Amino acid sequence: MNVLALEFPPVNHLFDWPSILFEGTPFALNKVGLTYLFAMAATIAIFGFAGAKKNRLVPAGVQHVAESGVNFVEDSVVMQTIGPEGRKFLPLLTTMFFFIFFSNITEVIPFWQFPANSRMAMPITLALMVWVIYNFQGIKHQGAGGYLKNSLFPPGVPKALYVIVTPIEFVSTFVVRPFSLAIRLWANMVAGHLLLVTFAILSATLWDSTYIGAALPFAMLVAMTGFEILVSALQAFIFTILTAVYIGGSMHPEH
Amino acid sequence: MTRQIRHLVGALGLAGTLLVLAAAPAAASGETIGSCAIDKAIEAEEELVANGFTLHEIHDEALEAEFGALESEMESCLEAPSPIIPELDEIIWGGGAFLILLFFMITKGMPAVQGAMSARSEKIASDLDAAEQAKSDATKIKADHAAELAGAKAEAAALIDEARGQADQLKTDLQTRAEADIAEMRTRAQADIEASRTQAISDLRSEVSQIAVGAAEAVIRANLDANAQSALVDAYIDEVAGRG
Amino acid sequence: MADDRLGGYADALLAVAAAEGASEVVEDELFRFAEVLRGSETLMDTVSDRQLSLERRQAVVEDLLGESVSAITTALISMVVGTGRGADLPAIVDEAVERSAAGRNRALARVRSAVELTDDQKSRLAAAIKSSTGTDVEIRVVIDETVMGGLVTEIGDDVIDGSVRRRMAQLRESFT
Repeated sequence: MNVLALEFPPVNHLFDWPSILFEGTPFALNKVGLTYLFAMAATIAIFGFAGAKKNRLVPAGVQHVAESGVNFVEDSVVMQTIGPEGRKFLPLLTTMFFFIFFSNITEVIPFWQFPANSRMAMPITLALMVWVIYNFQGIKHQGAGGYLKNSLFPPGVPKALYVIVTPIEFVSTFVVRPFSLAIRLWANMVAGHLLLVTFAILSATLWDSTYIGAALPFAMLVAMTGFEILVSALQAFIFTILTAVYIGGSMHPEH
Repeated sequence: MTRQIRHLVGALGLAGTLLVLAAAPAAASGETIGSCAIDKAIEAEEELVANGFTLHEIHDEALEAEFGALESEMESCLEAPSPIIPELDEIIWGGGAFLILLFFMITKGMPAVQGAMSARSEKIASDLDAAEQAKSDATKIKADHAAELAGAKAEAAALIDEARGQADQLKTDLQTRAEADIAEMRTRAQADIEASRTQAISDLRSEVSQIAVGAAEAVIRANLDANAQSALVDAYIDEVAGRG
Repeated sequence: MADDRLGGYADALLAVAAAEGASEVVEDELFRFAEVLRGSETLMDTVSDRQLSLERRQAVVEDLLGESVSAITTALISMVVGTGRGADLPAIVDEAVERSAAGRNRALARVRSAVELTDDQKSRLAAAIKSSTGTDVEIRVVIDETVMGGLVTEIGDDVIDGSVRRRMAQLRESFT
């Protein structure tokens, strides 16, 4: 790992953090756990603060952030996928959006510079939770038999094709879906972190040797930082809207 | 929208600036191999010193064994947990944080924000309703006023018409009555004149007859001497005899 | 009504006159007085005035008649007035004259004239009436200046007016 006098660490080392507290126990707390605590605290702060200021005609500051977020999740996520009856999932989806967004955005926060979701822990946990929720909703609304039938034997498909379609549907709906959901988020954040680390190391090294040579990688670093802010929000949105789509699909089987 | 874009650009700028100050490979990555190796070397040296070894006595078997152990330990610096396997401690902390956050959002955060939003939209709606109501009230009042004004005008016109009609009627009545009175007076006067004339004629005639008859009587009396009387009686007797 | 009483008085008058043998004269005098009484309102009021005593009334009548009529006539008139029947005197006399005439099978013809009629004239008149009506009449002449000239004969309800007065009345009517 020594190209152009660059010292580049092995990839897995970029995501391995020493424990700070409770080392050696299941409750060991490292940078990833701290990031999640931060995401929790930030969201609580925003909503707690916004909720304390009532009846302002024109919302401003954090109140505006909170209300915009809720409006965004309600209009662009719930109403587009589930419909009015999906409003009961609004707290879950809003929480999910803000939690994922804040645990992503830490990758561009100076001195922190690590997205918690580039670790598989929470993406897979949340995805399995979604899996449980949409299956439960499907059974609740369609009955176990109806849900399975609508999921595995989609209507409108020629009966002969069920031989092919049904295994595919089973695997995609009940097996692959949570993993694809988790991996999409995780892989995006891993990739983002790698990009930022790459350009940061490149900039620093070239600054040490040539000064001028650092200009291009640094410009790329700045650009990628902006891009990663977008990705952080986008991945939070995608995770949230896919959750809503899965729940909506279970509640209203397609005919 | 524009404001959101402005916020986004601002956030990008801020992030970039902070990144310039803080961009350091060490901070951007996790544990480095170099620091790991150095740590391990220092640990091994401290252990050797503690065991009474010096770096000169390098061909000792025990020392070789120590170096073998050091080598394998330093190799472990290249190892790290698989990036794709979820760690239990991270799941616990992340899941806990998520569950706490979810609980907070369901019980407090969402109701508070949504309450504020719906209260505001209700207030706006009610303000709009009130404005609409006020507007419609004003319109209604205006219409009422206009209607009242029109009613008053119509009433006034009707009164004037009525008064004019009454005046006309009165005039006609007076004229008719005056004409009737005049006609009656004229008729009565004519009747009076006629009566007076008749009376005068009658009076005159009776006067004349009185005078004439009186004169005749006087003449007759003067001429009725005995012979005449006798002749009259004889004539009467003849007349009576001639009857039958 | 009063016919019986009037008749009684009339019969009494006729009986007295007949007893005295002066029927013709008395009847005539009674008739003339009755006509005077009929024509004089003052005299009629006096004989029927209840304020005056019967004697006073008799005295007035007797003074009025005086010597112009026979004593019998005066006595008869005084007698009627003395019974308080002065007002009925003309009617009583008429009844008496008519009964007297009827007693001789004659009707009474009351003749009004301005002048006295001669006997010849009376008989001719009676003959003329007889010839025209077939009735025997007894002529009683009443002197009435208002007749002016000619005669007015009344027989019962029939009136034959050939007077100048009537002519004058007709003349007056013709003017009006």
